[in-house]
Amino acid sequence: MEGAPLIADGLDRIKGTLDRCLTGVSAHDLARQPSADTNSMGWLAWHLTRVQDDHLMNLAGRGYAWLEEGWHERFGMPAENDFGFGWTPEQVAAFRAPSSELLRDYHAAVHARSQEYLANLTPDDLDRVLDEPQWDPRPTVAVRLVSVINDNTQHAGQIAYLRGLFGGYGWQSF
Amino acid sequence: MGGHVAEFVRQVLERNDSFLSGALDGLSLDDVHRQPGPDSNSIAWLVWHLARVQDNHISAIADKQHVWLTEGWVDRFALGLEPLDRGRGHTSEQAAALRVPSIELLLDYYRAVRAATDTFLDGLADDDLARQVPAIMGDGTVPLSERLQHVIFDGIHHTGQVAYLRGLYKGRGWLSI
Repeated sequence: MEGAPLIADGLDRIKGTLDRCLTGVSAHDLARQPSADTNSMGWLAWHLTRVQDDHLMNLAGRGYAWLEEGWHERFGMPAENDFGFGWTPEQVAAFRAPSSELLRDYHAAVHARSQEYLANLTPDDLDRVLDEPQWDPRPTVAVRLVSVINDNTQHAGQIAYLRGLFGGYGWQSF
Repeated sequence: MGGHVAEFVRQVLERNDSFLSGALDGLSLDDVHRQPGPDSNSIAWLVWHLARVQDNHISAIADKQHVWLTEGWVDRFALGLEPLDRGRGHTSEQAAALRVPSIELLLDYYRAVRAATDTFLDGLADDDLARQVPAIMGDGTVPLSERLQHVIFDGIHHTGQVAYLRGLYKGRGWLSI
């Protein structure tokens, strides 16, 4: 499996979308939900970055940037590896990212660690079967990376859609 | 049988296929044409666009015609657009005006594009990725891998938007993957 460069490029694109969408966005729009049980841009950006931090660092056998680098404190959240799975609509609605800059900075920190991991990945690493008996068949490293690319790219697309919904036609220049 | 990269791309696309069909399941024709804002794309526009984008990329790098034309989808959709239009640069009015005849047709066209993509991936060796192919816009060439990356990114990006709209219209709890 030689997909690592494609994955690395995919993570660069995700970061590029986040940087564009989270620049010049108001605090109001960052927390805004188009309906009571849909996700805000702020929550989506936090969630996708936490998923990447969790999944990639688990593969790397390394601690999470969220905890090791103290990002949870800057977000005013407990020192737990929570990435938003199973949150209720009330929890999502109550979520406030302190600023769009902090979201971009946390994403940049996770992105750097992810790229460091991918740069050292060998074809043998990608075929390694994960010790996760709850799945049948057990996933490989490659399967987990496919999941991250799908999850993160979907959420990046959702953030871009919301930016357009709130900002109107022509907010983006690409 | 394609190479390792082809297999990786296939896995990413297959995962995306299941999200897309799950997001469309049980929606009405009204649902897929709904826009949450005057400038926002409908589900129908997004799915048509992401399928057209993939058709455009794969036909260019495989040096074939769009299945949109060769299989007569352009006539079945009868959108009144230029034959090779794929939605890029549409005005808000054009996006709002796009109406698909049925959700089945939309999915059938998407599947036809995916079949052409799979045929292409079957013959793709890892060494092919560096091969120069026509650039997306304008003159010049780019490595094949760059256009393949666009196929993945654009398709998932817009599928995420379709899934979001599904949740907006129908509420939470529909996603079982």
